[in-house]
Amino acid sequence: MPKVTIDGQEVNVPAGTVVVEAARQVGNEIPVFCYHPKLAPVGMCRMCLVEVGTPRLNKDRQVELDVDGKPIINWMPKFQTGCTQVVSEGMAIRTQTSQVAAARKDVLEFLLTSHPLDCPVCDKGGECPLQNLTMAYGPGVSRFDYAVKFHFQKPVHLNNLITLDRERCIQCARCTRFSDEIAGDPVLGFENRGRGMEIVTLSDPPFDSKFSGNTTDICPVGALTTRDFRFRARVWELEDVPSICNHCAVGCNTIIGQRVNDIKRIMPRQNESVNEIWLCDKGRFAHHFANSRQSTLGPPVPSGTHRLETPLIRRGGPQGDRLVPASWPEALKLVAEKLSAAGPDGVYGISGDRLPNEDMYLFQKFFRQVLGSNHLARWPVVARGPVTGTLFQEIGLSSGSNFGKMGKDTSILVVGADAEEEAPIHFLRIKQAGDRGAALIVANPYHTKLEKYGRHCFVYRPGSAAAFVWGLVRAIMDAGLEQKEFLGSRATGLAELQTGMEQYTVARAAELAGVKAEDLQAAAQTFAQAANGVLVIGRELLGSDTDPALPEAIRALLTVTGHIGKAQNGLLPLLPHNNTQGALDMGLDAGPEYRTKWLPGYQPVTDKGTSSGIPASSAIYVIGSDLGSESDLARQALEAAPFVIVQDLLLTETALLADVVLPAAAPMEREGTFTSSERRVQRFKPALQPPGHALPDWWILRELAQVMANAQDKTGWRYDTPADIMAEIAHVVPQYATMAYENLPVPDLPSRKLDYDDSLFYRGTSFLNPGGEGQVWPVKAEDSAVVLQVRWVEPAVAGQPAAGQTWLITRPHLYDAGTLLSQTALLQPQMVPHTWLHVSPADAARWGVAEGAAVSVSTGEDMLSFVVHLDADLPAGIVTAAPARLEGAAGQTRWPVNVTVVNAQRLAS
Amino acid sequence: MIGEILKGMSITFKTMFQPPTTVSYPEVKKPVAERFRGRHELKRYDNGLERCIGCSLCAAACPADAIFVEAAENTDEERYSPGERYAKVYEINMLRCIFCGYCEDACPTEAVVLEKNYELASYSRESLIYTKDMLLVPHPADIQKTA
Repeated sequence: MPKVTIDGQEVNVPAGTVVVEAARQVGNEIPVFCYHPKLAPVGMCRMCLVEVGTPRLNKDRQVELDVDGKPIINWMPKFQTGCTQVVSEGMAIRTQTSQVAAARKDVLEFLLTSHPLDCPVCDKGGECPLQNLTMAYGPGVSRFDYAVKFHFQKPVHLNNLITLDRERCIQCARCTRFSDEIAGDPVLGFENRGRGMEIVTLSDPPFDSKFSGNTTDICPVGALTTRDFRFRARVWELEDVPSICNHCAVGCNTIIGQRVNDIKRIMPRQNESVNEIWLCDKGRFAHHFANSRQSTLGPPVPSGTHRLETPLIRRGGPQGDRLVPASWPEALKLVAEKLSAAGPDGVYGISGDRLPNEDMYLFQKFFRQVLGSNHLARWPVVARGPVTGTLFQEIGLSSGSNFGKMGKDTSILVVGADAEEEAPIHFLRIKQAGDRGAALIVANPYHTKLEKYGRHCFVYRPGSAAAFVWGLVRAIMDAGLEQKEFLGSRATGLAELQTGMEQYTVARAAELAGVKAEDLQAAAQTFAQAANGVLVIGRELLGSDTDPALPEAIRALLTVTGHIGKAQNGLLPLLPHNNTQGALDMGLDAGPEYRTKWLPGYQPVTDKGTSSGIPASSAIYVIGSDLGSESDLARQALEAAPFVIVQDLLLTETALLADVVLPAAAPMEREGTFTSSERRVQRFKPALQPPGHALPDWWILRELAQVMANAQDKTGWRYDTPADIMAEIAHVVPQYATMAYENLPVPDLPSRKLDYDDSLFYRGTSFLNPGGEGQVWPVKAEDSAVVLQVRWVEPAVAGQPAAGQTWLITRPHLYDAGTLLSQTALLQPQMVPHTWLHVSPADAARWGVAEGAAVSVSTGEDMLSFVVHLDADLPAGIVTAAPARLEGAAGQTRWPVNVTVVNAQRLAS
Repeated sequence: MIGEILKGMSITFKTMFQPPTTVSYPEVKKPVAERFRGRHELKRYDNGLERCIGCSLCAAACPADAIFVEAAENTDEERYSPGERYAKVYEINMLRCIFCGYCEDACPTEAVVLEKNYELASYSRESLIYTKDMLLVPHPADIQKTA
């Protein structure tokens, strides 16, 4: 730890620290524009000029002392940039002298010569580091003539989301460095020189990145702004409300900038355990579903996609049955009557996995207590296969794990997951860990972006994930790399496993998976020898058709390597939605047979119910899910059901099939908690008023329970706020015992980074998170008394793909054109419609089809129609489609499947 | 005592034959001071484009929180002001306004000006929220038409 003297104050800082960081430690601000603690320093802006000196050494390399016994300092003749100057032992730094102040003044005067000074119309105005630092350090007047400023035409749209104003750019290179270093999308660069220097995008489509919005946060001027927020408000007019992103299961911390009951923008809130200071473009821009409304005064028109504002009841009329507005008491009375009449065996509840924990808990409680029924299921079907919640709560990523701290001693194995598409911020952090030295092993049936950073990369045959994972287990056992000490006390069934695997050699596994045996052995060695190991699995392995051997293979792999039960180890599933984990925890799990398996907290259900499949004769209560648009099977069931209740935000296709539609409040309109796929429980606050008469789901369920409980016992349904429900959850669900609201971090009072702390780096563009980072509940394996059972299950191989065959597999996309996402017009160019079939150029040529051609494929049992979309990243012989399209489809097909083209629109000759 | 009464009455009789200082408002209106701060106007450039760029600095400066601005982007087809930005919504709540003139001070384009009109009484609260249409001075072309 070198000792440095900064403005007379001595401080010890770690070797390799740059002067700017060292100065922070003594509380002396060195202003910066280009330096950013998450990015490599470049010294572009020259704002951080300081005087630096080193101790004078005599001939014996000893520090020379003056008469006072202090070291004599050799001051460098010129200023040094504090962001690139690394400290050394005895270094002296002066940050507060008049020379430094003059240098800062001159640098600012120089930076402003090319700046248009159009702060009144600039979206950054009010939170702009250039404004702030000019006020603090700059000259009052400029010696340069305002009339001869260098002008560019403005604005330039870098992509459909980001706008560039070239005049305002001070060439700090934060955006290009972010794209290169953090996002791994090297699509931005500088062109020309001097005052003509400008940012250009080099990719096609332009600025092709899922993280492009982050460049607007870190841009220290108004050069990069989002089109979403363009001229929509001034930043000081916004009310900033702390929230949690409601899209994927990463659980990014956000700030909703609200004005006049309208979301103006969403920005990341710093949480170093979850999203650091980043947010993907989906989380940032896909908030328009909440504002998708006409006037709050106008009549609710039961068509289109704007927000529901009153309950709707289907009534007969001269034009036939239609949904007409009704009052809450009327709608609740009708629902209560119908549900009571249907009886416990005649009702069926389907919950989406986007609702907050409190609402899902009340939904299952409503069914189990008030209706006395266990007929509950969760939509979507993904994350309902053999690899489910019980495995996650047993060997899931241990509490205390943090991808931000993973480095050389860690190996991250990613199987069947396209992290960038499924959980973009996890992708960012896994990649970052790789950059810090963690060994990434990436295995997928197709190429993914993470492969660029992988130490070992595999493309296994579709459907052979279990064979692949068992191959790793066998290779580890062959090499004698299993953690014998750990296994001795923590696992049983090892001997049986070894006997079972006798015939299952690495060579056989490699053959089944279609990979090289020596690569498999090398990867197994890397994973087993790493001190910490994380297994990341994605949608591919979470499907309902997944091989039943897979959970056993995963458990065996993590057990023999000892990568469970301690921080930075375990299994991380990339779950499909923001609260899929919460749905599992709240007892809304159900297998592919649509039978409920667990009560809240994974306590087994004793009464299994009688249903198998969605029973057509039941009254169906759908809450927060548009299953009707995703699945033909679900649609048929809903059409056949005698009574359907749909509780949702929008008049979805499912809602159009309903007899009663209940308007619910969006996540940003109410309070609650989400549980991320790391099992981190995080609170969020309401930012908006719900439209019209819409109410939070828990409120609706409570009212309904009270109506129905007229004759029965009314106790237990007196919840005034979500806090009351969470208190009950803490009581009922053992994992949530410490999660009562008073123990969860309160996301109150988000202070902007205007005070000292990190202000010089983020000033004005990021938000502190004073409430803490959320609570993660520990998995079973963290209890050292828990003994894990490993078991050999032969992997079922989907068949031997041969040359000329084509395999159809599911592949998730970030912009998947779902019900909520499609409300955001801005993101339309990025959307991947459900109807697309991704085909490699080789297959397209073989089939004789071109981009946009209509094609029907046969799986042998089912016929599916698609539109061809060419995808150069796909290996030949593999075609992919959206999970919602395949897993929700009617029929008996199991995925992956060998398909044949039966009807294709041929190339125009 | 009589002396005092006569003294007082002499002033009464003196002023009785002088011209009156009150004016017969509303028939007669006194000119206001040059720096009088009355009803706001949103000015235009000579070519008819609005001066206001919707920057909201007037609203930020307003101590009474009387101004509400919502901006939008100019397009080539639909241009209201020079540059990229214009005020789509511009409202001043005259019941809240304290006529301090800070908005005028804050305005970077000299768009909002407190003019001489002080006749602002009305029968309803709603009608005292002045919208952009009411505040904006007429377009030069419209003036020519009516002239």
